Amino acid sequence: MRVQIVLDHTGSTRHEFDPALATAEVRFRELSITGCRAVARGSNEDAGKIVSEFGQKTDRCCSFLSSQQGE
Amino acid sequence: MNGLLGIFWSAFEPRETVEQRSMGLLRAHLNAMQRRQFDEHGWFDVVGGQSGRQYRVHRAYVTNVQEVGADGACVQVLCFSPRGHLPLGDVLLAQKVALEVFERDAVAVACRWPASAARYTSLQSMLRAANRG
Repeated sequence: MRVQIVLDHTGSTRHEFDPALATAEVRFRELSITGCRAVARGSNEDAGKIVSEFGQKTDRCCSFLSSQQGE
Repeated sequence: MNGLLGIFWSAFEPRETVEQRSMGLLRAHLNAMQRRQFDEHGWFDVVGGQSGRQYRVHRAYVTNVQEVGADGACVQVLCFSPRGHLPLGDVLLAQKVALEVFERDAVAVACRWPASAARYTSLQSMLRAANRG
């Protein structure tokens, strides 16, 4: 199942996008504009890689706002 | 009628809290070794994707990431977190992914503390573990 996971105040929001790739692409662009980084991960335990463009090859994508200095 | 009653009563059933959801997501992204470390010690180790350095991510919101040497001793304490108000599991997941995928960027923005600050992190972990028990 292809899924876009957005880390947010609710814990996370999952968007399964097999039939709705265009919607997922729009969401990806909107999140990118707000400063979110997206990391694509495979089904195995690899570390993943930063996604700069969303497309057909994206299977599992995790988005969150970029890091900041802690307190 | 039964369907409507079912919906009504389901509103009173206990639901997964935000913290539980975030911890579930974190656990789904940990490998077997990391899950075991997290369950037993309240931390898990991550290998930096660019430097190969080892980091220990503790179950806490702040000053919870330690760079550890080959002997497992703390070298320095790092403090960085994702922007936004996220539950703990999400914070830990974002820190793990950041260290694995864009380690240099994460370390560059991090506030750094000497190894002696690790005692504070350990204290936090102990308090959290005590609260869980």
